[in-house]
Amino acid sequence: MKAIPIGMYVPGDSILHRLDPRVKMGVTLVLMTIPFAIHSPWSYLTLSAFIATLVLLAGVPPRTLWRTLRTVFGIAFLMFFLYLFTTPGEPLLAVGPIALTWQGVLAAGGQIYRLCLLVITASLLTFTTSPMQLTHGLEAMLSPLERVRLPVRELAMVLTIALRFVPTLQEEIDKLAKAQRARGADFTGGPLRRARNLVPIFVPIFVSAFRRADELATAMDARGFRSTPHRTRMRRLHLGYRDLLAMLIVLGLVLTLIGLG
Amino acid sequence: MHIRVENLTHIYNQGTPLERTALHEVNLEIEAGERIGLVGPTGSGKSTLVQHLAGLLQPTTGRVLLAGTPIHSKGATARSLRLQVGLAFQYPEDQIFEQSVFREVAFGPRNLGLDETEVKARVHWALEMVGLDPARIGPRMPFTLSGGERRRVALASILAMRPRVLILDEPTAGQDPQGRRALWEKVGQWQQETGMTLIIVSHALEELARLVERVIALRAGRVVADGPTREVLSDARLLRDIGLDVPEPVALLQALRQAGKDVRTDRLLPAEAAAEIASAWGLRRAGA
Amino acid sequence: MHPFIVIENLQYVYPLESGEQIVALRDVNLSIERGEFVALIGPNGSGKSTLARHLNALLIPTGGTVWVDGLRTSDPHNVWAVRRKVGMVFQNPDNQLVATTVEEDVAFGPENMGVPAEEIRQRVDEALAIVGLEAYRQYPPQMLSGGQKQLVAIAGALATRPSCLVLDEPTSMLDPVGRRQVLNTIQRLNAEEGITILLITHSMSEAASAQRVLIMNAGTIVMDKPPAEVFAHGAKLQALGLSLPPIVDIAHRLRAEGLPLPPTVLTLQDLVKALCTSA
Repeated sequence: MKAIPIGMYVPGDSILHRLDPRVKMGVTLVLMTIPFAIHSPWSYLTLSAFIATLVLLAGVPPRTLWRTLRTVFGIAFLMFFLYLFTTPGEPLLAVGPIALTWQGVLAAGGQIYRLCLLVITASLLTFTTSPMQLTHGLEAMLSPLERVRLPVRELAMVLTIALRFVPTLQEEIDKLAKAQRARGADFTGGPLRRARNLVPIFVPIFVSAFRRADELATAMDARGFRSTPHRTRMRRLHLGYRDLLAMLIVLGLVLTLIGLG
Repeated sequence: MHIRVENLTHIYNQGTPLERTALHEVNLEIEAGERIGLVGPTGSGKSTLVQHLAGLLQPTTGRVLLAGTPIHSKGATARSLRLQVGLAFQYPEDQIFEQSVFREVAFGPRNLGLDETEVKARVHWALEMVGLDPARIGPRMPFTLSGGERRRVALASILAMRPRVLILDEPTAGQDPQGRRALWEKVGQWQQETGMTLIIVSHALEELARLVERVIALRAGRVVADGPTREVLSDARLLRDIGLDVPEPVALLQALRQAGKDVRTDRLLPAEAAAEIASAWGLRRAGA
Repeated sequence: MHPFIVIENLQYVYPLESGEQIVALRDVNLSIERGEFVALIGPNGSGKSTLARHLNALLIPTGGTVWVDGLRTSDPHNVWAVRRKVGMVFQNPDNQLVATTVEEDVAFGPENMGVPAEEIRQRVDEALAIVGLEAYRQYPPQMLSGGQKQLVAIAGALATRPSCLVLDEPTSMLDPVGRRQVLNTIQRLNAEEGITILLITHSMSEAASAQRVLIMNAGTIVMDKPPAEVFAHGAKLQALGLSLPPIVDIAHRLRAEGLPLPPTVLTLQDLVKALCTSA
């Protein structure tokens, strides 16, 4: 199994890495809605320049970014042809009932462009924010909901443990697939056959997941875990001047884009 | 079955920040029926190497030949060759998935396309080889067995394929001393009975010393020693260098030698070391 | 002052689904002083882990009493205090770390106990310094070796400032390098920090480094002596499926050959010294 390209954290020490996760999550949301609210080419140009600057600041290797974009190629391809041939307008080229229009080319190009912006913006967040920080950010942002008895800390704990065990699980699946292949198991063939052949992998995975859960629960018990409001956290999030500055810059960007339309 | 490893290099996650070279230009020649110990610290490439021998990985460069045929080539010949290499990963009981011991052990032979009579014969043979009674244990659900019994079932499920090369990765990990001793004895018996090639990855140097005739040591993806067991495992400097424990008898004899005593240091077992000291101290004649 | 751990007539019985009663522990009597280093050895299924889990109230006796620093573990009010006093480390390094970075994991215990943030930070730094993993504080667990993961687990236990550590086969899944790292750390914790240690192990060589060796079989303690005296009972050990550490084994064989060696020979250095003075 290959490492998941989307959501991969690239450890680093850039200014984006050091921003408060809550600020980053908020800003990402804002940046991801903008492409749906702007129309003028100048707005797109400004936004693109802004995101390009962020990419440079984050110091993400271009190859990693490219790999991430590649994962949405399938959808992009589909969207492109959908918009290309279904947008009414002045035909450039017509083969029978299918007509290629100038408007279609523009619309298709625009959609792909938007999709790319969205993917890059979202991955900037995950590239520069460790899963742990994301969890912290989420926990902090949701904490007001504790008043309506939503078990936010427990949810954050569950999320953390899930994140902790993703790599372990990947390794285990990989090892089991090999062990069963060495016993002649065949993971090729049609989907139905393949599904049946996955039994020798998924039964042991479930068995071991239960055992792990059991051992982990014991270890957590031994370390005094209990679900009470007495729990404290070592790491507390602080908004610094950097974070304020970042928010101001994004506010400025939004106002500019509103002005440009 | 003759095994030949040619300039084998394996790089994980090539082209990513996590890139790691696990094997670097490894060359090996293993004759049919040899008993080999593979040693090295965690991350030295042992498990990558054995996975290549079983045809479970694609080399970055280089190749592995089984009986003269490249193991990675497509087609039925290469596949049937790959299936003649049995590989037991660490904690092999983790791979058990069937509802009865019989079906678990029969999984491999059935994948080989054997008829049911032959499958049954093989399951019986394999369970007997690991010291389990086929009539009593065969119908049981694997998870009702003890840890030691599940380990044996898993090993039987590999033996039942009648591999000509058997690779065991830390076969006794997590067992208590009694279980360990019993299992090591069994492994020796399998080899004697079938004449298969045996490749054992283990940190248990004393047990290796009793079982294998040749030891290959890996460090950082390269072969750093390959020779008779007695030679490699008494090379204290090499072992320390690659982060392994020096067998205590060897360490003792070396300390005595440094203290000016005239003793040989290539005695790997407590009994051998005691005999060596006894003769050097004039308690009995050398070799007696 | 009372011993740190006192166990009186401990019995632990649990029912199987079939209704059968399994006696996991019977007639266990034991006391451990503050600062002692005790090794516990015995075949799989002899009750070692069950006994260990009674020491920090993960299990409550079905008969008899366990006292930890004067607190009875069967009293529900004592559970959290007992868990603060006795830290545990388990066998599988992968199944006891809960967080995605080393320092967050070490902080887990004190967080559970409601320690203020600044103090947690300080305790985490201290605990990581003791096990020598300061440089790895931001690492995700999966990037550490098995031995390092066990050191993180030890640091996680230390961060709650326990007086005693119970380690349930902490080295059995490790390679020799990891084993040495963990064992050295345990010895240092005992010698320098005065932490009481109960080390469960299959390795006689590891047990030899303790002050006292307990041998369990079929749910009860069958021997409780200093290592040298335990190893003198070669035949009894063999009957329990245990073997002598190689050095002790060699010494026994040499005595059988007529070489007069003192009974205190436990380590390589001991044996070299004894041999060099006897010739």
